[in-house]
Amino acid sequence: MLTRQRIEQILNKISKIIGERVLLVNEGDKKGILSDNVEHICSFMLDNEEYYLFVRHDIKLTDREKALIKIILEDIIGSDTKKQNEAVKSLFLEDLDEQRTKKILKSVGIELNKWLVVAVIKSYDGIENSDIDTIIKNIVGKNVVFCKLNEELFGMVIQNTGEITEVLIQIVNAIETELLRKVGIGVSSITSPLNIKKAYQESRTALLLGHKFNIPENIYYYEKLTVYKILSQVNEKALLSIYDETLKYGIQRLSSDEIKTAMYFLKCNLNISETARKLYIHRNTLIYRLDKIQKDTGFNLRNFDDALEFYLLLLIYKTLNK
Amino acid sequence: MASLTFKHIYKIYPGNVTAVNDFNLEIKDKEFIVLVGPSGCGKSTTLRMVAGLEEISKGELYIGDKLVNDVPPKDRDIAMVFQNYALYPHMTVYDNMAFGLKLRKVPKAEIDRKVKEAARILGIEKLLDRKPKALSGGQRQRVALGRAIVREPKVFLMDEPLSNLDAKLRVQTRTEIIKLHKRLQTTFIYVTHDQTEAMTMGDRIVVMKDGVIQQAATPQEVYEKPANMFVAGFIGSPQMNFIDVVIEGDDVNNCNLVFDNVKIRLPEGKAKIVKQKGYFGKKVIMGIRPEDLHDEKVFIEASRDSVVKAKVEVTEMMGSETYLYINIEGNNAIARVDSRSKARIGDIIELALDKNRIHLFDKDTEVSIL
Repeated sequence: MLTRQRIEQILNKISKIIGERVLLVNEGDKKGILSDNVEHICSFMLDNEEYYLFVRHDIKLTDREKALIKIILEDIIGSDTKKQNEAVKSLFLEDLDEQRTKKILKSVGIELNKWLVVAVIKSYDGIENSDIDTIIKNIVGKNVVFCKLNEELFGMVIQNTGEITEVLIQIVNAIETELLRKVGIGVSSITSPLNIKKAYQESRTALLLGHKFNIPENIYYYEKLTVYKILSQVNEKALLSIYDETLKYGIQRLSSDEIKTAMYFLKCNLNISETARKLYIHRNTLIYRLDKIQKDTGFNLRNFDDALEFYLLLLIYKTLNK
Repeated sequence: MASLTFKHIYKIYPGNVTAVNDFNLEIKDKEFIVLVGPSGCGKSTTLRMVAGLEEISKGELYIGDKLVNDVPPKDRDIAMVFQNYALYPHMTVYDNMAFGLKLRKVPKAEIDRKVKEAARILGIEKLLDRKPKALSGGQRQRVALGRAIVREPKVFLMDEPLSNLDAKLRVQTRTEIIKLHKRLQTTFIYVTHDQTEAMTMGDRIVVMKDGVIQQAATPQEVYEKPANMFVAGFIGSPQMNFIDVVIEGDDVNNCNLVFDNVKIRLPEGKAKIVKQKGYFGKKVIMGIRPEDLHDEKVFIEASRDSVVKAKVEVTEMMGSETYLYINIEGNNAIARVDSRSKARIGDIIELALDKNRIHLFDKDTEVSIL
């Protein structure tokens, strides 16, 4: 991993070659040297902090030499980013032995004694997403290792597991605010760093399930998708066959209002008062609707077994209807 | 020009779940429109369709004269402000506001001008060098607004931007957003579940339920002439009181609303409408707002034909007024009376209904009759 120290070592070598001092400063130091008659060559991000490269005005550096310094530095930083990217990708995708895994984890700054979560971010509109990684890098702290998997997929390794939800919501909001783009995030279960590949697979699965079943939220937690995981294991032919058998219940004939009522009732743990409150209807109205659903489909949603079967059939219906 | 036109807009999810149902609305240029309703009513989905974050299933959306259904979000000239500020924690306020412009490769000088102008409008010039962690909740929200302002959009979209603030700050920031709208002279579409926010901020409010517009009108009209029971009950705090009554009488001069042992004379003007619509002898629902139940002696004496006896079950001293939770012949209701009222728990008191402010709703459709 590239550090300020390493960059300064490289700059010292450059300074010796050109015979003049090249200054590397951060935001805090910048104000102090601006009065020293210096010229700005370039700036770059390192560890979420902006750094600036200056050279004194009285130095006779040609434009070509300044451009060369800029290119060298950008190349070093770029190749470090590329190296890190490749390293994280290999952790996600390759079958590595424990020793190699540990070595790579250490090289990208992942601590071996801290549990982690893998999150995979996908942009849905298929447009070029070079700005998404800029945004993500500006939100995530030093405890997050980030990599670009392809043009529409980004991976993150988060070790401050207490902060996951907050960080992910910030990312979704930032991308939607700045770029007006819809993204989905799949999140693995919390696991040991040595299981990082499995965590990556979980996060990919979570993303796929979220998209397949059109789960309303943008962030899909693998651990909360058990029902969807089970359904996704059933092939479409079998689903269709179950669906055909259950056509007689008439779920597909229910109105949008009735489906919404049913879903809220299930989400509110079959609690009538809570559901009525959430739907902003009188409890008598809710009871009337539940009675109607029972009359039309045979399912008494106040009964847990019926509610479970209804819920599963609704999911099947949604999947096939898509 | 930043008018918006929604023509038969639908958002339908797989499984036949209709989140937004035949949404029709015209928003004038520079108008401040508030979409309000309970959770899940489709207001945020509608906003996201305007932004392009959700696809429109059916219908047409115009911004100005341009059909934008297939226009990418970044080309719609809009800016969004969310409930979660999504500020970049490692950047200064200046850089937070400049970030989006930098992504769009706007020249540095122009970025500087826009950021400083937005900061001046929001009164946060002195905060430009600070980082988000050094800001209060209200200041962070202002920076989030600043990020939207620098884009100089045609339309501002705000999705519950005040929900994360405490009550006092919410009131303060509400006022600032209203001032901002006047200053920027741009179209605002604001989503909230809070009816107080809706009433105080919007030029017009659009009340939604189950994906359907219940009423779109000025705050005053929505309050005084609610289109149906849902609007009547949702707007106004405390909620409007609803009582089942029968309309008895044979003539507009002799028309009463009757329930249990209570008879309330309906004014002639209202009786005429009720007769025209064929409601004589029918069961309907009477609505009366808490502030239209009066315990003042003067009012009671002047309105003997609309006086009811009520048992006080709970009193809530709010400071400038008192809420009385009462029972009128088995019907629970709330009266909003002066804080100097002497009513106590257990008392049987007289209250006069302001007959001119009675609402009537069809029992089956819940639509307003008057």
